Amino acid sequence: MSDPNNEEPFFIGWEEKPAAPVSAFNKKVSVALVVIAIVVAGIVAAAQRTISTAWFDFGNVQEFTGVLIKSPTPMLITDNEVEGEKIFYLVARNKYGFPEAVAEKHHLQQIKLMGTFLGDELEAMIEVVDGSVSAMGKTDTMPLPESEIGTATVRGEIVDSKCHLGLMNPGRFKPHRACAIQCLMGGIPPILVAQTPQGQLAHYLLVSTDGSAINDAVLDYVAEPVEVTGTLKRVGDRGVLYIDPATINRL
Amino acid sequence: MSVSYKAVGWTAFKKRYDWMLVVAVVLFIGIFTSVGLASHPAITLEILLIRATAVAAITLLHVILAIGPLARRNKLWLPMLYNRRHLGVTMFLLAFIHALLVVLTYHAGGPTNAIVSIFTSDIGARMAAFPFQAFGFGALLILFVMAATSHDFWLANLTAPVWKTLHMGVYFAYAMLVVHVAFGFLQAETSPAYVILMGIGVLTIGGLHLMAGWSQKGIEEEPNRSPDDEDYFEVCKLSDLTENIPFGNSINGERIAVILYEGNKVSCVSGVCQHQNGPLAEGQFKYGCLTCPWHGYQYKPNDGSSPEPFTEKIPTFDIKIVENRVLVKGKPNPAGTPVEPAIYNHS
Repeated sequence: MSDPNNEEPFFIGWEEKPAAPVSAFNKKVSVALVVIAIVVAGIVAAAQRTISTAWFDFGNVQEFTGVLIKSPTPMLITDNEVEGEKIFYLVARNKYGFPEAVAEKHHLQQIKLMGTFLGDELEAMIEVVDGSVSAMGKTDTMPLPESEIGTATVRGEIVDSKCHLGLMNPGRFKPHRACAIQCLMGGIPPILVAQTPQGQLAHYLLVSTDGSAINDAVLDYVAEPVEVTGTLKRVGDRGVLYIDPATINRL
Repeated sequence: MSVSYKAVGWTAFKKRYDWMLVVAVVLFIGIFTSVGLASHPAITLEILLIRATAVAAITLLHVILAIGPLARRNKLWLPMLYNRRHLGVTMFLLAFIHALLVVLTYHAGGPTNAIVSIFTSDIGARMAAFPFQAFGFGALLILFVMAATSHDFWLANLTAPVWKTLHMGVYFAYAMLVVHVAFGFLQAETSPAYVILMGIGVLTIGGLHLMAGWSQKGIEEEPNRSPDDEDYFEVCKLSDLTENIPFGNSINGERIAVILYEGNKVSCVSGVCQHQNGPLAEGQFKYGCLTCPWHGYQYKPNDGSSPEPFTEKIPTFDIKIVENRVLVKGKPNPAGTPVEPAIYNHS
């Protein structure tokens, strides 16, 4: 039999004061848990590797002027550089692409519009305020030089351009797949994010061989490594891959 | 213990406990967002918060799951267990904020209904299409049911066995969340730190539960029937008993607690607390009662009833001492039935 005065420590929640050993132990445990919280939070936050440099100028709606072209995807070629860029993909709010009818109506027109900048070191985009596009004049000449580079095979990940260019950061990989699918279904142009042999990121706008939108055909390939073969063209400084979606290969 | 329902029966201890919890959660989110913004300035705030709340929730879930087996091995952990339901509700709220932000960020604002999108965007056997979000959604539903029924009102109305079974769902939720993380976040963020942390978490929880299960192994074994009387089982020797510390065993699968108290009295009651099915055999004899280690519910050893004004009752067992052997009748008495204690003659 043990000495009843020498029982192991016991805790009863409704007692006014816990036994001294119980109290001392739990003070140490509390401190340890706070330290664990700090360490885990710090490590997990610092170890993230998928954050790019893309950014969305949230809340700063500004006026842009330039020439609108409707293909290979709606773009605005601005008169002056904005954030170091003159070529902007155009999209609508939320997860929707730029309205086709508006692009058709203002193709090769000098226009002004209101919108918000987003982009990274490679490309830029404008999230256009609904109904803000207005014509300023007409031009008949394509404002961007186009050239065919030839057949190209590129490995990378298909993403929606809006999230990748900063609406979300990171706007790639598995956790973002559902969002990318919604954006592509809504008409946001798809791009292939690839890596150059030098380890730099490269973007290729994806369209079908006849230049039409290819969104629905690439939904099942989003957010996984793929190999794409097609005709590579330069539109201004943008790479555009004209592809047959049947030739997309999962890696 | 209480005789009526209150939203929370606040005590000084519970207030201190919850303050520590709030401080830890705020500190966690604050450090995560600060370090996240400092090391990755371009990260968008909603994604930073999605990740902060997710990591906070799953870290807290590991703490919650570790407390039970730790308290079984060392009673110094009991204060952590006492208010564990508040940890659970807090963890659910963090998980809910995470899920809400995910739905608003990734699923809303597109051509498909946001909830439908959760289940339709990932369909397929490939790693890239593995439906990790459906697993997260399922886990959130379980955690919601647990948080919503965490109050003693539900415990009393569902009955302790049903409530306990329902709340064992936390292990399904945990398994689903491990899948959710492994096939979601870990497919994008490839730093070894994440795999190591998750691995440590899973191994710790698994290891602690295995150890706790191992320590209960003896209790699960059926004791021998008494050769003198077929109705009785030899549950222990007198030398196994320590005053005021119950001895646990089981008869016909029912857990019992044999207790030596007040110098020479030996009684046997059910080993299952009426409150949350807590392990009475891991309690102590305090203030004249066998006291549950989880929330301090008390039962008089001679009749299994709680001291007035409380009304909880547990079954009692007929008991006798033959030579050095403690014999307990296999069939329990109805809850609250008085039973004369056996007398331990120390001579």
